[in-house]
Amino acid sequence: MSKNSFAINYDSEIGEIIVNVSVFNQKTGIGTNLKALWDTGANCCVISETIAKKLKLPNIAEVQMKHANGIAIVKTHMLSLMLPNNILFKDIRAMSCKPIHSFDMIIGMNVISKGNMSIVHNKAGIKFSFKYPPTRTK
Amino acid sequence: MERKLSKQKIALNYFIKHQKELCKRFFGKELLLSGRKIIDAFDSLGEAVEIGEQKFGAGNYSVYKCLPDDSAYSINIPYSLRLDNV
Repeated sequence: MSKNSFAINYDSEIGEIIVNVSVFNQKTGIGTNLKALWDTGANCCVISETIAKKLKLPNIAEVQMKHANGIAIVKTHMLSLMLPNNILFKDIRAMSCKPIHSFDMIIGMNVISKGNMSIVHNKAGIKFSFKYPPTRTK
Repeated sequence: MERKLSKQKIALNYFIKHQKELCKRFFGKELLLSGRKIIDAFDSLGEAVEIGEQKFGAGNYSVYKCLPDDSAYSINIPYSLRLDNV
């Protein structure tokens, strides 16, 4: 696997994909390691407000969050995100919310769509991989 | 009543109301606003945020990407996120 991609192997059925990542304040360089859930159902990343406060991530706008019961107004922040194998994304938008289950971040389509993501079944089990920059097919 | 709203709330309302004309002028750019005032348009979010922080300080500016659909100012809630997390 090339250095601009990473893979996670699973023995059996995948319930959720959790990846170890690092999140940074772009200006100060202060960062932390997190567990992040990959979620193609989110059009934007989500980060725990505890982490956002700890890293003093800049609060860059309020946006609408649409859900089953209506619309809420939430804050968005800017951060840098490092995936395994040092795949670095800067200028990433993430909304903040109260701490989420067993992970501190959700990786949404604003990151996922930047690369090639795949889930492949093979003899060993199931392999999830992500490659950046994406390989463009003809 | 708008005097009671934060600058960021005012900016959100302004962006939604004027999205069409803003996209005509600044399509694809990161638009820096302070309340209802358009400050500048940038190629990158990082540049816009740096200027916003310098000129206005935390919480007193907003940056929206000038796109014509509601993804510019709204987020779809992930099913994995409980509503009471917000």
